[in-house]
Amino acid sequence: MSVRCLALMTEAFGCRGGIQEFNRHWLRALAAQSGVEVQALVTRGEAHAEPGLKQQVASPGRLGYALAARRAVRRFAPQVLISGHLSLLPLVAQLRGRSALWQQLHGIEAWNPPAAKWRRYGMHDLQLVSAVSRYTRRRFLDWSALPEHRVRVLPNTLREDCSPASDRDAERLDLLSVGRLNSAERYKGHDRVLEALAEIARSSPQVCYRIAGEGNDADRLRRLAAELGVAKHVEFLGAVRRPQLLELYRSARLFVMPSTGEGFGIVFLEALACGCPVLGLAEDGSVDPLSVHSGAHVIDSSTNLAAKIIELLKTEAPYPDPKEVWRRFGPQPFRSQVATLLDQVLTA
Amino acid sequence: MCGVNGIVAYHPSAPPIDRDELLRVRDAMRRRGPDGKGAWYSPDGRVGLGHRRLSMIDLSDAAAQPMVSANGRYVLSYNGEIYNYKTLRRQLLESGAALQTHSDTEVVLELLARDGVAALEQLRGMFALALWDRQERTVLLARDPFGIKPLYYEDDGWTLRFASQVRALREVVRGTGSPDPAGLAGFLLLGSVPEPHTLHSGTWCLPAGHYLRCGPGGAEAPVRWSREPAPPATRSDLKTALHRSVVAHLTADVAVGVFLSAGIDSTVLAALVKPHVEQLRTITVGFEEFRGSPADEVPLAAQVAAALNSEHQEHHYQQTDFDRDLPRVLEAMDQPSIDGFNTWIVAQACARAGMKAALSGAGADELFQGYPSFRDVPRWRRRVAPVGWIPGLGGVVRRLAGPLVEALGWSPKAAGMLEYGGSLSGAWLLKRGLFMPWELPRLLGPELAREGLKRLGLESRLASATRLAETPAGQVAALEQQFYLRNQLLRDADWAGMDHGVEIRLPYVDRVLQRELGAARYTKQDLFAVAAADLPGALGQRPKSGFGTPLGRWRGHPGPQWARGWAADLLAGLGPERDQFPVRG
Repeated sequence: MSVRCLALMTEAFGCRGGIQEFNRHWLRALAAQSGVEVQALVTRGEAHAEPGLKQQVASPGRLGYALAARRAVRRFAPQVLISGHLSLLPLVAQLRGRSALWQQLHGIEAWNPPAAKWRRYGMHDLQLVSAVSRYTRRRFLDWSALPEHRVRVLPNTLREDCSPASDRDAERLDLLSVGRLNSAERYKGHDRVLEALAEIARSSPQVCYRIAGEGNDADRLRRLAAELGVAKHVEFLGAVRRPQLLELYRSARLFVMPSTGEGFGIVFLEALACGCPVLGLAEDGSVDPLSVHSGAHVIDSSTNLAAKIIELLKTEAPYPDPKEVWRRFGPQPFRSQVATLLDQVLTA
Repeated sequence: MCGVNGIVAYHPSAPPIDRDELLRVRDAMRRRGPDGKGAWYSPDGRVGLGHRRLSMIDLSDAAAQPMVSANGRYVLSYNGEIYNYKTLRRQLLESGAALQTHSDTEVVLELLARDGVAALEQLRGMFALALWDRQERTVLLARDPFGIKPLYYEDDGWTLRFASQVRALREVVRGTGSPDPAGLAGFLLLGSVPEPHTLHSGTWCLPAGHYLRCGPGGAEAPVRWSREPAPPATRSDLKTALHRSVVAHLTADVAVGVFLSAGIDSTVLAALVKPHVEQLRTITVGFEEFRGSPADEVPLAAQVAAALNSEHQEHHYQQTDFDRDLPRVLEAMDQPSIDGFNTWIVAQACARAGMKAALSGAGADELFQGYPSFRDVPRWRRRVAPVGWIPGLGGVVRRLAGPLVEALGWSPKAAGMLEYGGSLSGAWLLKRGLFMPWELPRLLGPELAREGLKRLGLESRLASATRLAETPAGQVAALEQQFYLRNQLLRDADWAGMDHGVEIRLPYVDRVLQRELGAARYTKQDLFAVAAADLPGALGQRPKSGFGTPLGRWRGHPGPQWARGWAADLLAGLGPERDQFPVRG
């Protein structure tokens, strides 16, 4: 018997970004299950098809998306209706019919209750909620009061192209951060690293802090680097393409992102899989990728960041063992978890 | 009677279990099991079970835990006593099982291996257990039908952790997380934390009579395995039924004593035990502050002991003892309870007297209508119901009458008589509640109070508890059993006994007995009549007093409202966790 899953999402194939990538992995993992047929309806992107999986792009605008979603539900008659973002839940719940509902939580959008009550519509009809990290799950449970057994964890997974450098340069002193430089996402902690950089440079004069990513906060960060007198130690790389990003991971001495707002923090995993040690805070979803035993370093926000980075640059810290990263966060455990969750939503 | 714990890393992204963590949590429960300790790990490092042992039956090392089943498929870590284990053992042997020990642990393990969760129905006694199925990669957690033995768990989305004590479970995360608003509200309303809540968000008590499975998908919802006992078709002979329960509860390879007060429950218990032991051993606690007053239990208990020719010990306790012991009690009290200090003192006396196990009369008041609530609650409802139905009237009266009630020095609960007294469950809450719902915003702040009351859903739970009872007395009995007995008396018997390595056994809290007698069909006079010939006649005339302590006086909370002050002391005494519970005075 085939199982039809219809995913209502903002974006998946044909768009860049962490959520979009997660959605692609998720859809493919669903389609990889035996007897499962998957359709996705997205707001942006491009039509896409591969065995067992089809993506359609709705007409522009909210009304266009809602009408397209309604048509898709009627035509496809899914057993499982997936809401790819919490903001879509009211629409998904409205269209559910006899379908089982599965909601994915990506991070910060699920940490606090939506201000408007109507945005919680359908919350208690959900058969299954999967959160990207344990932290996001806990934050969601704290306000939603859903039974815990209906809220599971489906973490991010890696692309197959992540791999360590074949030869490692022990002398490298580069620090690396990767992430959007948006004023709304200052929680990522670029400011904290810049503030620590003067002290780090006194200890390691050759240090270079590379910042990959673009956004409306980049100019402010450049000014901040200048004000702090560390501009010569900072390199703003802007948006980087995937091959360059992987090389950056492979060549960095330490990936550092003292963020307090990550739903998960896929960049930590990517860096680890590329053989780069990582440093982050234990205050958000980053706790999950930072739980990798080799190469992941965790501090709390009261720890002196500069001192910790100096310590890690000076110590011959062991390079991460990518095997553990793949064993826990690779495509195989991801597919296995999707299978478990699909089974749960179908039997709920 | 022991301590169990475990860690199951079920999610593929979870790291292997931390063995140090397993041992730290296990050894945080060392007082529960001073006689031995054990740990079992799965070869892939994804599962660990821990055990602290207080040996009662088959004291040999062969009965150590965690124990692996004969077929190698199951691993058990279990806390409790199964009083019919000899019968079950014989049945297992007849069905071809090859048993290696004389312990009840092996019987429980092989029964579960053979019958699955259906085995739970066959067990007479108290238990909390964890069974790992190596083939299905599933752990089963289960608790006895009354909830005598506790079991707490946390599922963080990757890993399931469980333990016999909340504080042990939180050993590795102490001071983190947030309070469970429902647990906090429940404690303030009832004086103990009602299951399935604890004071900590994400930490749950497996409800009494439930099991829970955790497989590759994580912990599932708890499932009730224990059926409500059907009302008995005919009355069993009370004396015979009680004797049978007492004999069952004496099953042990160590001597079992009796907690003796001057009340009917424990004196009848002692009289019932006497014919079944070589030498009856009893113990009584007396308080200096009560000496010479009607509250002093020592003289009458001594008369009973003399009449029963018991080897009797008196344990005298006073303010200086309390001042010395308070820090230890606050440390031992797993979840706050306003009513466990008395049990802790008598367990201390037992341990000092060299007793490892003792019978307690707890549970008799629920079974034999011993509490004043059996009289007052139906009466209040009868009087208030004719006007209490008018919407909004009760709230208005309560708000208007509140200041007057306060000025008169009455219990603040009195103002809510019209609002709550019209229903049986509301009247019971008035009678038994510590604080009332309208007081919580003042204590917790409006937001936490609102959330706590909403999540606790106390009114619907109280109403639901009474649905199967046919008479008002039966309804009160159901409320007393499902709230006061389960969440307070049984929890207190566990943590207080375990802090001294003393197993407290409860012959009145017995499935077979309750099935034979039915709830609230007999009275205390019926109970007294069972052993009246052996006991001083003055006992039958003594008014109900309960096992009180001068705790309010010791803590400087005089008057009838002392428990409210004590509740605040308890929350403040939660050590590093206390900042999470900012209760306002």
